[in-house]
Amino acid sequence: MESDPTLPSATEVNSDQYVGRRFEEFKRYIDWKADDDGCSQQLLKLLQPHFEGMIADFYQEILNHPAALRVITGGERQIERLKVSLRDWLAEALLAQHDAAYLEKRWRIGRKHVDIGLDQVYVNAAFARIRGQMGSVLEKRDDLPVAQRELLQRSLNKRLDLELAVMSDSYYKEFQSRQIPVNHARLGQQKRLAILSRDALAGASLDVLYDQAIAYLTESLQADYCELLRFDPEKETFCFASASGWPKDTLGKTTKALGVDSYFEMVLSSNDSLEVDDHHLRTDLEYPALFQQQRIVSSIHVAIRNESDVYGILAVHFQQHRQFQASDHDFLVSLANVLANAIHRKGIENQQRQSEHQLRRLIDRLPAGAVYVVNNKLQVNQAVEMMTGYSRDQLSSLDAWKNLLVDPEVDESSSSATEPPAGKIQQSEIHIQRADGERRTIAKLKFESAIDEIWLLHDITDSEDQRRQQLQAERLAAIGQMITGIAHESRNALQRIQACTEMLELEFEPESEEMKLIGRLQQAQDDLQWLFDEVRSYAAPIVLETRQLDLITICNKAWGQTEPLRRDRDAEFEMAGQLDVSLLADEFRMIQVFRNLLENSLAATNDPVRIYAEVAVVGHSQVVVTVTDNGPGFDDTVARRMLDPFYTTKTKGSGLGMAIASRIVEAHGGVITPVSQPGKGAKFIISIATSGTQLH
Amino acid sequence: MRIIVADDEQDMRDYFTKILPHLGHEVLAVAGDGKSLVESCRKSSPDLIITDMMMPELNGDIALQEIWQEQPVPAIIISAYQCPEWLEQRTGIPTVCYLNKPINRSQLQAALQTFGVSDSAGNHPGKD
Repeated sequence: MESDPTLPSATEVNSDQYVGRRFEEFKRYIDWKADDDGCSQQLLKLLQPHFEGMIADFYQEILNHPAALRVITGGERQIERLKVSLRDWLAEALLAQHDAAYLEKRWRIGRKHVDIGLDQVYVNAAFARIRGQMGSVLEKRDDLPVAQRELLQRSLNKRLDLELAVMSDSYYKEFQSRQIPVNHARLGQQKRLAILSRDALAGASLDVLYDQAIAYLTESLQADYCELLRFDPEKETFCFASASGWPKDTLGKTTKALGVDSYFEMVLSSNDSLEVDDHHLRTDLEYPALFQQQRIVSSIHVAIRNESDVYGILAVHFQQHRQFQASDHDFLVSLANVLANAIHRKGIENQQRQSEHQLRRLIDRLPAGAVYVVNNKLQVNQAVEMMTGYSRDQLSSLDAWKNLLVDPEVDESSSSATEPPAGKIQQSEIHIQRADGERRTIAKLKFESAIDEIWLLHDITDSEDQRRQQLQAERLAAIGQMITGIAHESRNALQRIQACTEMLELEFEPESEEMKLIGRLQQAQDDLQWLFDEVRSYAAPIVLETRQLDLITICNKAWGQTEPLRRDRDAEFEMAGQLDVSLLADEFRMIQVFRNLLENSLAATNDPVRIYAEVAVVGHSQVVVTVTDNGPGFDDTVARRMLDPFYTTKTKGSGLGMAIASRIVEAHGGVITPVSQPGKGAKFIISIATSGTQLH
Repeated sequence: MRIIVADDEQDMRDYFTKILPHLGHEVLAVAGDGKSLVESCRKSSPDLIITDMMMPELNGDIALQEIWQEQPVPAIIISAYQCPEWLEQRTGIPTVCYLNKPINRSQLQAALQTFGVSDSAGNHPGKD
C-alpha cells in the first residue's frame, strides 16, 4: 500500500512522538508566537471569573440538543463531574502549557468523545459557543488599550483553535480506527468473495467467474474502470477477458506484449498488488497509453498467479486521485487468488479430460478389439463393433455378448468353472456369429482382476482359413506325389501285361475270336497307360524350355496333330487378327495347349466343324488369343469347373486335359478363361503376359 | 542278331525269349540279374544286349559298363525310369538305345531295326 507521510501508521497514531509532531505543525499553521505565550496569565485572570457562567450556559445548551444530551447517561452527578472537568479544561486552555501531559490529555478527550458517541459537530458547536462568550468578555474590557485587547482576542482564538485541532485530530483518528473492523463495505467484499469461491468450486465456467469478479470489483470499489487481462505466455500478450467501464470494443482486445510495457511486467513480477494513487506522479512507471486515453488517474493492479504460473492481471482504475486503503488491496488480492485457483483447477481438469479423451481415442482406435467388463456391463471399442457388426450400445451387457457366441458353454466354462486367481491372463478361442450371420473365429485374451476384466479380441478367421488352405495344399501335394508314384510304378506292371498279351497273340490265328479278345485287352491296357501318362503330366513340375516362336506356327502344328481326329470329317481351323506375334514359349507345351483346345472342339462339335482363333495384342504387355467354335458351348457351371482336374463332360478322357493346359499357360505367366456361351459355341480366351512376347 | 537279354521279371524274360526269334533274332542267353548278364557276355560275345535297368545284384547300367570294359557291345535299355544322365551324354561308349516302359512289339522292332541297319561304329540312334 502507498504510504502517505502525512498519515500515521497504526502504531504511530498513539505515540507521543506523532502527537507532538502534529501539534507543532498545527501551531505553525495557526501562527503561534511568543506573544501568545505571554498572554496566558492575563487571559486566565480576565476570563476565569466568568467560568461559572460559561459552564452553566454550556450544560444548559446541551439540554436543548438531544443528540448531544444522549451521551450523558449518568444524570446530575455526572454533569457535576463534567462541570469540574470543563472548568479545568478552560483554565488549561487559557494557560496553554503545551507539554506532553497537556497533549496526552487533549488526545484522550478526542478519543473519549468517540467512546461515548459524541459527534464532533457538537464539540465544534460548543467551542463556538465558548469562543463567543469569552470574546464578548474581552470586548467589554474598555479599560484595556485597544491593541492589547486585540492581541488577547487573537491569542484566545489561537488557543481555542489549537485545542479544537488536537481534539478533532484524535477524534477522527480514533473514529477511523474503530470504523474499519465494522466497515460494511468490507463485509460486502467478504460476502462477494465467498460467493465467487463457492461458484468456482461448483465448477462455474471461467468466463462467468471473470465477469462476476469484475462486477464485484466495480461495485465494491466504485471503480470507473475494471478489467481482467488474461496473459498468453506463448505470445506474451494480454487479452481483455472481462471488463467494465471500458469502451465496448475493448473486450477481447489483445494488448501489448510483455517486456515492451514495463508497467504490466512490473505487476506480474510483483508478489503484491501495484497501487498507483496518481499516474502523473509515478515517474518511475510507464503510464500506459490505454490508461491515458481513458484519463485514468489511479489504479490498483494485482497479478492472477500461483507459485508457478501467471494467468493474468486484475485491475481497477479511477479517473480521480484516490488513496487506496488496505481493504481495497485485500479485496483485489483475494479475488485474484480465487480466480488463480479456479484457472489452475480448470487447467488440471482440462488436462485430465484431455488425457482421458486421448486414452479413450487410443483404445477406440486400437486395431485389436478391446472390451472392458465390470458388473456385467461391457464397454467395447470400434474394432469390436467392426468385428461383430453390432454397435457398442447393442453390446453393452454380458448377456448381449453371450448371444453372439456360437458355442456359449465353451466361453463360460473357461471363465467361471476354473475360478482363476485375480490378475491371471487367460487365452481362448471363441466362435461368434456376426450381425450379418457370418461366423468368425476370435482369439480372446482375458485379463481378470477382482472387480473387472479386460479382453483383447483378435479375429483369426482369415489366418485359420489360410492355415486350412495350406493344409489342403500340403495334402494335395502328398496325394499328387503318391499318384505320380503309382503312375510310375505301374510302368513295370503295364510292361508285363503288354509282354504277356503279345506272347498270347502268338498263340492264336489272326482273325480268331481269341485275337479279338486280345485286341480289346490291348485297348484297355492302352487306355490305362494313357491315363497314367496324363496324371503324370499333370502332377509333374512343368519345366519350360522357351525360345521365340511364331504363334501362327504353334497353332498350325497343333492343328496338324489333330489330323487323326478329323480324318474323313468336315473340319476347318482359321486364324485372324494380329498374326505376326511371336512368343517366348516352350514349343512342345504350347502346342499341347492349343491341341487340347482344338481336340475338345473337334470332340464336342458335329460336322461341319469351324474353329476360329482371333489374335490381339493388348497394350505392350499381353497377347490375347480367343478361340471359338461352332459347337454346343457350355454353361456357367461347366465354365467354372472346366479347369479343375478330373472334370470332364466327355465319356472318354481323363479330365486332365484342360487342367494341364491351364497349368502350362500359367507357367508362361498367362491365364485361360473359358467363357460360357451355351448354344453359341465354346469360347476360350488365352491371355499371356508378353514379357517374352515380341512383335515382328 | 545274336542277343543276350537281362530282366528280373520272369514275364519279360519269357517275352524276349519268345518274341525275338519271332522277329528273326537269336537269343544267346537270358539273365535274371546284372551279374549273370556280365558272366553271360564273357561266355558268348553277343551282337546286342537288351537289359532292364533296376535289377538285383547289379543294375543294368553298371553291368553294361563292366561289359564295355571288355567288349563294346551295343545295347537297348528298357526301363521304367527316366534315362540316366550319363547315358544321355553318351560319350565314349558303345551305341545305346533307351526305351521307356511299357513298350510294345512294334517299338521294340523299330529299335532293333536301328541296330540292324547300322554298323556298331556308325549311327547313334536316339533314345525313345
